[in-house]
Amino acid sequence: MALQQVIAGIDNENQIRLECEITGLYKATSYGAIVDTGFSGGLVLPQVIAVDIGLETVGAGNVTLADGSIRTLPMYMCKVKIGDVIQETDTLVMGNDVLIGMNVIDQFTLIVNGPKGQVSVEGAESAAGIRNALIQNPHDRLVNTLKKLTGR
Amino acid sequence: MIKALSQDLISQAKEIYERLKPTIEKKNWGEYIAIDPISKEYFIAPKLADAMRTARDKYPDRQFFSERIGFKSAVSFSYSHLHLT
Repeated sequence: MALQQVIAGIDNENQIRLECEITGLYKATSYGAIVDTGFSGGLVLPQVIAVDIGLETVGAGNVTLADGSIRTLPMYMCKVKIGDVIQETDTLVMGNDVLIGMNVIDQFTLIVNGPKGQVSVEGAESAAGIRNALIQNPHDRLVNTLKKLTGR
Repeated sequence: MIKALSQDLISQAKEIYERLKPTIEKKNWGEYIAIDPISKEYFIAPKLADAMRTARDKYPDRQFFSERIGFKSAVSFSYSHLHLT
């Protein structure tokens, strides 16, 4: 699916960044957010940005942090626009960077050209189809079964 | 005014989730749940934002406890649940 041009690339710390517009209760602002495929949620915002744009509090949830510890943290909602795709997504407030996680990225196809430092972003019209195809793969079926058994 | 989730309400929501677990893990594994500890109602959706939005639409003045069904947390950093050793 053709997507309005999205500015994306690899920064000098080897992180993939893409331009997004984040809309809170008070205002909208654009950021070059880091794509964090290790983050299963939607969005992470630093406190200073969260206060600036205003976030809607929706409650709390358990969050597994990178060190493996689990904490119950406040959860918020805001809108994120990438290209011409607008999503309302779950949001955490922590750290110093704007992170975009898999709950947002799973709507898109990202193609990374490492040697050229280029990243292209497309709408993922067939994301569900790809996921279903992966589930049919015997290895993924095994992994999914193990996940169900272990709960991890 | 929005009723914030106290530690007590979070504990109640976690208890509700533990009670629901045997049933919903079979049917909705990998989906998300938002629990209202006051009404004890819960809302399940494939995406966390959808579960929270449905809950908020029904009870706009309340807050909800969220989990990913079958997982230890609603969201995670580093996504290490595939470690099998």
